Amino acid sequence: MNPGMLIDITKCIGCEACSRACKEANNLPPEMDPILTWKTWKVIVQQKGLFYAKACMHCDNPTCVSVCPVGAMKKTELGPVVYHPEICIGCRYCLQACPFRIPKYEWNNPTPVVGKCIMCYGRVSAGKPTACSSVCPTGATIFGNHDDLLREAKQRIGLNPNLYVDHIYGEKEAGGTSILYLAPLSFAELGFNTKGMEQVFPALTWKVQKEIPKVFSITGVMMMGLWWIINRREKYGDKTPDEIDEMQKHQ
Amino acid sequence: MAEIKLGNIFKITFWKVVAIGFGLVSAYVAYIRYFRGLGYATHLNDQFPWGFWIGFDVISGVGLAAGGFTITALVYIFNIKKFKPIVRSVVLTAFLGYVLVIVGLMFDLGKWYYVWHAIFYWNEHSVMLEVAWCVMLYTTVLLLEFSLTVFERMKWDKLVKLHHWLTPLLVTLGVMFSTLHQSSLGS
Repeated sequence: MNPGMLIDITKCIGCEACSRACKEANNLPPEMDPILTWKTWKVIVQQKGLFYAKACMHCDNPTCVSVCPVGAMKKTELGPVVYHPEICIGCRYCLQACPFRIPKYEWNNPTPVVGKCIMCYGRVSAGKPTACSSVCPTGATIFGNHDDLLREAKQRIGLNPNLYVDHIYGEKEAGGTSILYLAPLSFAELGFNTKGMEQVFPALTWKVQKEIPKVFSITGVMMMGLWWIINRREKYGDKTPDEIDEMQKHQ
Repeated sequence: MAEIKLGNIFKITFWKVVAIGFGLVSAYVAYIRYFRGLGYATHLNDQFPWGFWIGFDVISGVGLAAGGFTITALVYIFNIKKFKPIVRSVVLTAFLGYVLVIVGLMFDLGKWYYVWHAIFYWNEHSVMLEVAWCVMLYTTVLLLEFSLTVFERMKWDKLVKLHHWLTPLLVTLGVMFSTLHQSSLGS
């Protein structure tokens, strides 16, 4: 099982049942913020007269996981991207790096945490669906196997090409994500980040990062080598071979 | 060199008043940061998670330190003796630059009390881990490079001798860490 969710924007009525269920399932403080915050992991966005639920996309290759220096963000075997507050050092690189700008930080606390949707990791690993999908009254958010959902999304577009734009957001974005969106308008119009998204972001830095051991050793060998040559020249440069032999004998 | 008289330290001058005022304001801000949170102290938010001072840290702290590895490499590896007189001040400046960066980090990291996690929890895909290690190790190298002055002053001749023997290695390590650190800052 590779869990994921399909969010069909044509079906969302903006009732916020999902955000409230999210609060409950994850034991978050009950007050609801209008935008994503460290304690509100799922919000309803209203755009062009439409509603949609916004939360972590759970990338196949998450940038937040790649940039975290201590590995507090983890891509689990199952699929959800989870956060370990007991490892996090609070550098906020994940907030900066996420292509969807999802992780949020607890600014007004001296012992802060980062908050974002963890795809109800506990429930999902116990074989249950996510809280938000289980309460959605219209089926706008459905939970299931990612591959099945992708097939379902393609089928919906195929059956209703006039209703949907021919784009499944999350199929290729950031190298593929567990959450998929279907929309009746272009995703750019709805406020989704669509520019330069079809690439695997962690690959950008890893291309350079993986060369570090090489660069490191070459610099070291080169510098020590240069030092050896230059100092040797300094010491023996104006000496004849015989004199050098003599000097080395007395060392 | 002008002699330092104890009485002069307590003489009040304009710039001392400015410095004390600045220190008091900073202490208040530090208090808010550590007891109420980063948000109250800096007004950073989820849209702007990093402050401008990171740029300041990088330009002043790490930038100052760039002189450290270039000058020591010129003198000890390339044997350009012309620069030897400034080596010690350059090393000290570089060390202070890195200390500035570390002190800054202790304010900037949300969970500064977990800063040691960078030593035990590795994510080798993270550019920040590389930076963290370069800062740790280069600061250590700079401290060791500067320790010669202390050893000489204390007349610990054996340590001085060992230090002279190790200098090329330290300088090389300095170049290695700095190459990685200064280059990784771009990302």
